[in-house]
Amino acid sequence: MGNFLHVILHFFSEMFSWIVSGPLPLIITLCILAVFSILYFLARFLPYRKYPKNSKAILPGEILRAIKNFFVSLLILIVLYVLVALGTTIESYILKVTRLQELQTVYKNISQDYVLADVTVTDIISNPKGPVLAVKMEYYPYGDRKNSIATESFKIEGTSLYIDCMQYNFKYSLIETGANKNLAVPYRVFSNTIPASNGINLTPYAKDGIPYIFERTESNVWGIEPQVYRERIAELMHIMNDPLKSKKEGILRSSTGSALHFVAQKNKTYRIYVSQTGGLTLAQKADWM
Amino acid sequence: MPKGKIIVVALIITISLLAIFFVKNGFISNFLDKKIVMYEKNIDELKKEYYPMHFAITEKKQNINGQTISGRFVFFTANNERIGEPHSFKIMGNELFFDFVVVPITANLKMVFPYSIFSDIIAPDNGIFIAPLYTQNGYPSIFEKQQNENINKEISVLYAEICAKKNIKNAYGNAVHDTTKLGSFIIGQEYRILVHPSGGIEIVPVE
Repeated sequence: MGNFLHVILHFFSEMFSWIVSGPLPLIITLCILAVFSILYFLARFLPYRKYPKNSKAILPGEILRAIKNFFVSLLILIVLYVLVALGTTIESYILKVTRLQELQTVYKNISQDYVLADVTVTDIISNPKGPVLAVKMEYYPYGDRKNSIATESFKIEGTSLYIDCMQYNFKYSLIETGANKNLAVPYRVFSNTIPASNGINLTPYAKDGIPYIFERTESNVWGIEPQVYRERIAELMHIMNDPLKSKKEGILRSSTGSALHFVAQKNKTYRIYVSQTGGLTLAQKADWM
Repeated sequence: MPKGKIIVVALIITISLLAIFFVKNGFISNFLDKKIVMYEKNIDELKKEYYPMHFAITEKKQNINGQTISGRFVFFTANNERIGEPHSFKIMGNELFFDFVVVPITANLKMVFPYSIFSDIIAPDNGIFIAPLYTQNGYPSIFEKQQNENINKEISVLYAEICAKKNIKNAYGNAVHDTTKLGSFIIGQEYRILVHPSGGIEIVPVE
């Protein structure tokens, strides 16, 4: 229906554009209207030519009627012109508003950062071999910036802490439409003096083996049916478990390890974010967060 | 009120409203156009990408001590022009880490400085220090020089501190690397480091 209206609108818009494009088309249009008025006059008057007395009586009235018809049809044409102009203007507004809404959705989706985890150095213990960092990690489900759902603590030698994560960055088109979100899972920690292969493995998974980022809480349920959500998680786990295949299929843009690190300071909390434009970022967590 | 007069009054009101509509149309249309342009520009800014570094693995060799990874890397300017000649490296390990210092400039903009190369068996402190390799008279040549000389001086000072291995306030590090699960670097394949203005870093193969 929308397409049909668009075609009609476009046809009349082109027609009126032609009419007002110059004096000649305008004159032609007026002549066409005049011809129709004359034809109408003839259609009404000619049957009376067999009766000369009657035809003389009705002639002035019919002439007036023909002139009136000409002006009425001209008025109808003007009204139609206004309606078509209104229609094309409204159509243009609808297109612009639709485009604006699309852009707002894209901007909202790609400017989003999701909290992955908070990392706090709770203590820096002196040691003859070098300082030992006591660390607490808090995991968050996607969409929840306030309530962590699991905590893990450990100790490691060093002065800088490295939080190693696997990151999965989807194609821009999937992020823009909201079909997917870039994902990450922290999996080990090491330090400036402890190489990654000797690091500590993390457990960012719930008992069912699903990463904490996929946990559903009151604040991130979003009205999705549980069954639909489970299917969606299964699909994402499949992508995460076979990233090479997902890259070949063009679903993932990149998947690499990313070890965010910072110089340890006691009781300072750092927050790891998953950026929807790609990659991971780190920022000190403000007290009010 | 006679019917005829009602029709005339309704017609006058309708025509007046239409006239106002067409007069205001310009303002509404301009407002929508400006909003569209603003969002398009903001989206383009968010999706900007920079490639300050390319690398390739040339050899992975097993020996009694473990695996040695050999490769080459080269730096690029913001205009995608190569900076100098490629540099070679060789390091023990199975996973290769490219470490960067990320310095927040504004809420949405961070500067990313290549810093070092290490591996899964070489601790970061013992890695290969690469920060001084892209200097041009004290300025980090991977960044475009600004028109404001004071800003250029600040960037040079920041870069000097990074090369001196000093701690930078509010800065953090990000070491991107390959893993067995996500895919090890393929010998002979050229990769580039993709940096986003937000500070996010990825590694993508050069097609």
